[in-house]
Amino acid sequence: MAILIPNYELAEKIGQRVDIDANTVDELIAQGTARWGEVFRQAIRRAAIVVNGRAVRLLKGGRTPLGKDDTVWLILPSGGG
Amino acid sequence: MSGGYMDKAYDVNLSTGQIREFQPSREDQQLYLGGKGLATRLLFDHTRAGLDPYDEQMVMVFATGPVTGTGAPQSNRFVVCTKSPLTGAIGTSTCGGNFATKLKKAGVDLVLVRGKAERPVYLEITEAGAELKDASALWGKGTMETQSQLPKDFGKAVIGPAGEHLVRYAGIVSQERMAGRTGCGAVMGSKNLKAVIANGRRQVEISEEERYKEFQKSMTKYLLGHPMTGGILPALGTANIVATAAGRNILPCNNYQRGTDQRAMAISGERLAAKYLKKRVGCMSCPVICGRGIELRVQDAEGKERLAGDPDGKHKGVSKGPEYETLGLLGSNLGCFDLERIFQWNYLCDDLGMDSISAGGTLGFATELTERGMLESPLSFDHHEAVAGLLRDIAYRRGLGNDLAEGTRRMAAKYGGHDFAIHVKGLELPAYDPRGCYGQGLEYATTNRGGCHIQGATMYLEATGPISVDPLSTKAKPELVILQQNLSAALCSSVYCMFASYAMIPSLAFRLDPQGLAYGALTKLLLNSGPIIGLVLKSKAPVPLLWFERFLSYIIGRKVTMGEYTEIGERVFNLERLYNLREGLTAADDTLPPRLLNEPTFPGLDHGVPLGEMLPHYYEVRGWDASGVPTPRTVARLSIRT
Repeated sequence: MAILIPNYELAEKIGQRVDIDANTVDELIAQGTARWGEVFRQAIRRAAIVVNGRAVRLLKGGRTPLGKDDTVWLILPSGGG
Repeated sequence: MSGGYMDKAYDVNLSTGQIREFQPSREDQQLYLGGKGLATRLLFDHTRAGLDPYDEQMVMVFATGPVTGTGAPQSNRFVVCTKSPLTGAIGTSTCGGNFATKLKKAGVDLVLVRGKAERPVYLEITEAGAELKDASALWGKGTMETQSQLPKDFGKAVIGPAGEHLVRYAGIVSQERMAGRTGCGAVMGSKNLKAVIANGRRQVEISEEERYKEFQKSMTKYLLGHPMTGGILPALGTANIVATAAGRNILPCNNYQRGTDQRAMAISGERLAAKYLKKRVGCMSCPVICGRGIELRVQDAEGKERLAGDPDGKHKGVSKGPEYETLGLLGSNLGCFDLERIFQWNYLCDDLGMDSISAGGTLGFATELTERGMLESPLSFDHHEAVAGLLRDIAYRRGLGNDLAEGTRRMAAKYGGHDFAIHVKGLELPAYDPRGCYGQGLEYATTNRGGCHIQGATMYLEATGPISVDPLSTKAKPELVILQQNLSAALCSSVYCMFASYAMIPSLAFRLDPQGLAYGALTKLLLNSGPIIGLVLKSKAPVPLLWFERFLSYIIGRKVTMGEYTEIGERVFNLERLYNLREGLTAADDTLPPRLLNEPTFPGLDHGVPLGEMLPHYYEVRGWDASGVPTPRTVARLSIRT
C-alpha cells in the first residue's frame, strides 16, 4: 500500500493523503485516473512524480515498484528563497 | 555624476563624529561595480587582519550599486558588509525595502561607518549632507516602532533589540525586509548606531535613457509573463517551495533529522494563500510583488493586543507573512506545522530584528540537545509553547536565550552535539537539505559567508525549479555551482534581487512533461555539460546574453558582455575568499556538518552529501590550489589587489 501526497490543488479534491494499493507507479496512475478521472489526469500531466524523494524518471519510470509505506508526491516547479 | 553612480560616498567616524565625503576610485568601480563587490573591497582595504567584529575600528559598509534607484525591475536592494560576529568570515547581506533607492535619491552611492558612538545615534542623509542625531529615545524599541518614529518619507535601515544586545545573528530591517544573515545588525549595535535613514529627490543618471526605457518596458512585460516571476512567486510567495521541498526530501525536519513530513502541506504557500493572504506586498520598483500580506494580532510591550501593520502604515492592518526559509526553519525544522504560530514567530523575529534562519536553526539544534538529554530546556519537537518566549529571551539575552543568541556553533562548543550542529563556517543552514541536492551541498560548503542558499541557488537547478539536473549526482555540479556563484556575486554587486535569475530559465521549460522524453534529454544534456560550462567560465562571451548586463550597459554607458559580467562576479567571489583566508579560515572550513555528510535520508544510500567527490574539482576549476587558495595566476588574471 503506497501513500499518495497530491499537490495542494488536487488535495482539495481528493484529500491530503491517499492510500493506494498499487505495485508500480503505472498502476498508481491507472488507479488514480479510474478513481478521479480528468482532475487526476491533469495533475499528473503538470507534475513531477516523485517516489521517496526521487523523480521516477531517474528510477524506472512507470515501472518503478511501490512497496508498503512508499510515499509518492506530485510536485510542481517552485522558486524563491 | 556618471551613469549609474552618484559619485559620492560618506566615511562616518562614530567615535569622533567626523563625516567625510569620498569617492571610490573609478578603477574599483569598474572592477567591482558596487554593492557587495565594492563593499568587500572597502572592508578589505580599511580593516587589518584579525580585527574583532565588535572592535571600534571595525568597518561596516552600506552599499548600493549602479542599477539601484534606476527603476530597473528587481533592483531596489542594498548590501551591508562587515566581518560577521557569527562566523568570523566575510559578513554580507542584502535587503529590499525602501532604503536603497532613497540613499541614491539623497545623492549617495554608499556609506562606510567606523568607530563607536558614545550614545545611541542614527545617521540622517539628505541631499544637503549627512548628520548624526540622537537616538536615545529609539534605543530599546522594535524595528517596526523605530521606523514609524523616524521621519516620514525617509528610507530606513534599522536594528531592533537583538542588534542592541549583540545577538550574533541580528539583522538590519528596512520596512518589513531584512538583511538577515551573518549578524550585521549586531555590528551596528556594537557601534551604538540604531538606524541609517536617507531621503532626497535626485535622479540616477542613465547614459542611454531611450534604449533603457524601451528595454525596461519589455523586461517588465517578460518578467510578468514568466511562469516564475509572473506566476508562482506573485501567487504563492516564496512559500511556494514548501510542497516541492517536502516532495524532494529536502525540507529540514526536526533539526535536519529528516527531509520530509507528510504534514508539510499545512504550512505550504498554497494553504497560506488560500486561507490567510490579504494583500501582496513588494519592494519599491519590483513588479513581482512576492511578499505575503496577512492579518496578524500581536501583543505590544504593555501586553495589549493589536493588529500588526507595516511601519509606514501603508497597508492598514496587514503585515508581512513568512518567507519559505522561515516556514522551513521555524516550522518543519522545529517539528511545527501550525501556520498561525509561525506567523507570530516570524513577526517577532522581524520586530526584534534577528534572522529567522539562524534563530530557527539554533532552536532546532537546542531542541535536539534537549531531547538527547544534553541540555535542560522547555523545547520539544512536539510542543511549541516555549518558542515565542525564547525568541524574546534571545533578543534580550536572558537566561538560556543568552546561549541561544550565540548561534549553533558556539552552542555546540558549550553543550556538545557537533555531529548534528547544522551550520557551515558558523552560519546556520537555510531550508534545503543538501542530501537531496548535492550541488547545493557543494555551494553551502564553499560559499564565503557560510551556509547560505542565495549565493548561487543551485538547488533551483537540481530540485526546486522547472528543470531538475539529477540532484543525487555529482556530475557537472562543481561547474554549475561556480557559474551560479559568480553570477550571484555579480547580481549582488549591481545590485539586483537574486529572484531575477529565476526567470533565466525560459517559460517553455515549465511546460515540459517532467516524465517526458524532451525533459529527460534536456536534463541529461545538462548533467554532461560540465566541460562546456568549464569552457564558458574561462571565456568572455562577446555579446550581452542576459538582461542584467543589458540594463547595466544602458545605465553606465559602456557595453558589458556576459563574460565580463560573470568575471566581475568571479573577482568578487575571489576577493571574499581572500578576505576569509586573511582572517584565518582554511580549506578545512569548506565542509558540511557531519550529519549531512554521513547520515543518509534516501532509501538504499549509506551516506549523505559526497562532498569529497566534488571539492577538489571545484578548487581546480576555480583556479585555486589544493589547499583552496587562489593561485597567484588567478589573482593576477582577475586584477585583485591583495
